[in-house]
Amino acid sequence: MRENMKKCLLYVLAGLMMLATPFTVSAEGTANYGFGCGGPYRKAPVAYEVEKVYHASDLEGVENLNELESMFVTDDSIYVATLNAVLVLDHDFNVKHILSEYKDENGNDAKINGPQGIFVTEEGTLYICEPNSSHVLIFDKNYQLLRNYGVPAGLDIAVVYKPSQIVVDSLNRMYIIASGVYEGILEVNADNKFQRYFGSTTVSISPLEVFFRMIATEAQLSKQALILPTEYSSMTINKKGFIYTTIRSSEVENPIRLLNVNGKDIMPEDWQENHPMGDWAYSISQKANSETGPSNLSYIDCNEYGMYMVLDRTRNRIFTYDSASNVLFVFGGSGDKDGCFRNPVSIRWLGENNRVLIADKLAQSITVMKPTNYANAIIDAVRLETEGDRQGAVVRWQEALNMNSNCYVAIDAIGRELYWEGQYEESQELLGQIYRSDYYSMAFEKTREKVIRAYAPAAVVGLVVLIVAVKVIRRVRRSRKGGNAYAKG
Amino acid sequence: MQKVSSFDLKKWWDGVVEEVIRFPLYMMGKPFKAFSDIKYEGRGSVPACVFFMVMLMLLSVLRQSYTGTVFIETDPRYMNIWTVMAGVLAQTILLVVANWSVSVLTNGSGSAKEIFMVAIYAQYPYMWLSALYLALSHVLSLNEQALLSFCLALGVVCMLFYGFIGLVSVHGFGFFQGIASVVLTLIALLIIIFIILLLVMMVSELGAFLGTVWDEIVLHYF
Repeated sequence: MRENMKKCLLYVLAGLMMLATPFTVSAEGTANYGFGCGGPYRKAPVAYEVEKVYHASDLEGVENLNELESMFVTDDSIYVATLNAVLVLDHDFNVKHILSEYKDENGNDAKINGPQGIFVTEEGTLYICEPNSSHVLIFDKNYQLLRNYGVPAGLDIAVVYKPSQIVVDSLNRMYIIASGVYEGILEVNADNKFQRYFGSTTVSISPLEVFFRMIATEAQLSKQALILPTEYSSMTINKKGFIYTTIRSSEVENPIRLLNVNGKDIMPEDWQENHPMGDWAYSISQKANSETGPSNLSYIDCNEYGMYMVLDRTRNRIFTYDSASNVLFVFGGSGDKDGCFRNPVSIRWLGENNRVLIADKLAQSITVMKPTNYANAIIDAVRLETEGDRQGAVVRWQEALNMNSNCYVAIDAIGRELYWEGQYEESQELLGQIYRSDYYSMAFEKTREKVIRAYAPAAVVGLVVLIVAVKVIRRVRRSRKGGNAYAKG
Repeated sequence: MQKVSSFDLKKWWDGVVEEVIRFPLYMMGKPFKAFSDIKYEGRGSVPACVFFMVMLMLLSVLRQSYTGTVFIETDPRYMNIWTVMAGVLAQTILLVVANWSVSVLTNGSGSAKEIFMVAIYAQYPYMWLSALYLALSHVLSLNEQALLSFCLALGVVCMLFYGFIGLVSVHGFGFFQGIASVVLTLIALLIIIFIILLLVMMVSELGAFLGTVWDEIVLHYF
C-alpha cells in the first residue's frame, strides 16, 4: 500500500514537474517545421534554399549596402532603401538607377537621407519615407521629384512627425505609419490632407490595473509607465486594397492584422480559432543566450494568391501563411551561414517563380531564396485553389503530402476536397488523422445516414417480427397452460 | 470442527453484488439514508470503492483515447496514460485529504475512510454517464453536441449533489455547515496545491543549485 502510494505520488509529482518545464518549439538553421493538431511540432522538408546572396560588390556602381531598411518589388524592378540612396534594380539585380540626389522644389540640390519605407505604384510613382527629415518624397518614374510632403495638413500630434512606412492605394490615398503616433495608421489623401486614423488599436487593461490606478496618487501615476496602444511595425497592401499589418508587441493576441477599408481587422483565425502569430509555443526560460519569448513580427508581404509571409525578429524566421491562416512553411533562422540571418529587416516576394528577397541590415546583404519542390507544390496548390481549380490543387497537395506525410495543410485540403466530391469514407479517414472535427463531422453525418438507410428497414422489420413472435409465443403458452386463450379473451 | 478461515465463494460473490451493484443503486434512490448507513451500519466497502476508483481511472483514459473523432479534445497519440490516471487519482486524494483536514478542524465526525467512500460513491452516476458519453460520441455529430454536453453536465451535477449529501451525512453537518465546509475544502485544496507546487519548485531549484556546485567542482579540480 505504502509502496503504491509512493508510486502514485511520484506520478503526481512527475506530472507537476512536466507542467513546470517549458515547452519549446525550436528548429535549427533553415529547418522547416509544421505545427498544429495539439501535438508537438513536426519537422518538415526544407522549403526555401538560397539562390544567391548579393552584397554591394555584386551590384555595379553601388558602394555599400549600409543601413538597409526596406525593399519594394514591382513587376520589373526591385527598389532598395539604403542609408543615402534608393537603388533601383531589375529582377536579375542589374542596377537600373541609383537615386541619391535630386532637385528639391526650389531647384536646390538635395540628398536622400536615411529613407525607410518605400512604395511604388503601378504607374511607377515612387514614395519614400524619410523619418529624419520628417517628410515623404514622391518621385515620378523618371526619378524627378513631384512632391515633398511634410506634416499632413490637419494632423495634430505632440511628437515630431517621423513617417516610417507607407502604402498607397489605387485612389492615391497614402497610409503612413509614423513612429510615436499611437492612435493608428495615418490616412492621408493625395493632397497631403490628413483624413483619419486608420486601424486604431485598442488598449486592454485588466480590472486589477484599473483598480490600482484608481487608488494611486498623482505622484505614483506619474512614475508609472503609460499604457499605450501598440504600434504597427509594417504594412503592405494587396491588389484589392486590403492592408496587411504586423504588430511588434508580444502582448496583443492578434499581431498580424488584415485591415479592410474601415480599418477593421478581418484576419481569419484558422479552424481551431488560433490567430496567426508566428511561433505558438515558445520557451519561457530565462537562460542566457537563448532566444526566448514569442515571435516579434517586424515585416510582412503578401502575394496575389492570398498568401502572406511575416518576419519574426526573435528567431529570424519567416512564416508563410495561406489565406485561411494555416502555416504553410517556415524558413530562415539566426546565424552567419547563407540562408540564415543576423538582422533581417525586410522580406519581399520576387516575381512569378515565388522567389523571396530578404534584406539583412547587419550582414549588408540581400539574399534571394528560391522554393524547393516541396514549397513549390504547396504554393502551386494554394494558387490553383484561389484560381478555382480544385482538382489541380489536390494533385499538387498530394505531391506535397508524398514529400511530407506530416503536412497537415495538405491532408486538410485533400480531405475537404474529398468531402465536397462525395467520397465521405476517404475524407473521414484523412480528416480523422488530423482531428479536423468540423468537416469530419459533416462527412460522418453522410456515412451515418448511409448506414441508417441500409439497416433501418431491416431493423424495423426485425423488431416487428420479434414483437409479433413474442406475443404469439405467449398466447400459445397460455393456451397450452390454461386451455383456450381465445375463449377467455 | 468448524473451519474458521475457509474462503466461501458464494458469500464473497454476494458481498460483491451487494457492494458493487445494490448499494450504489440504493444510494442513488435514498442518498441520505445510504450515506448514514455507510457511517452507522458499516455498509459499502473500501475494496469496492477502490474498484470504482480504478474504473474511473480507466474510464478517463478511455475517454481520452477512444472518444469519437468528432468530439475528442486532445490528440490521443500524445496522451500519457500514467499522467491521465495519476490526474484522476490525485484529484480524489487531494479532495479527501482537504476535506478530512477541514473536518478535523471543524469537528466533523467523518473519518478519512468514510470521506473516501463518499467521494467515490458520489461519482457512481457520473461514471455511467461518462461511459454513455463515450458510447454516444461515436454515433453523434457536431450538430447533436448538445446531447453529449447535457450527458456530461448531468453527470457533474449528480456528482456534486450526491457528494454534498454524502459529506453532510457523514460529518453530521446541517445545510449551511455543509456549504461552509465545502468552501473551506476548496480553500484547503488551493493551499495544498500551492504547497506542492512550492515544494516542486524548491526541489528543482535545489537540483539546479547542486548541478552548479558539481559543475564548479568539476571545472575547478579536474
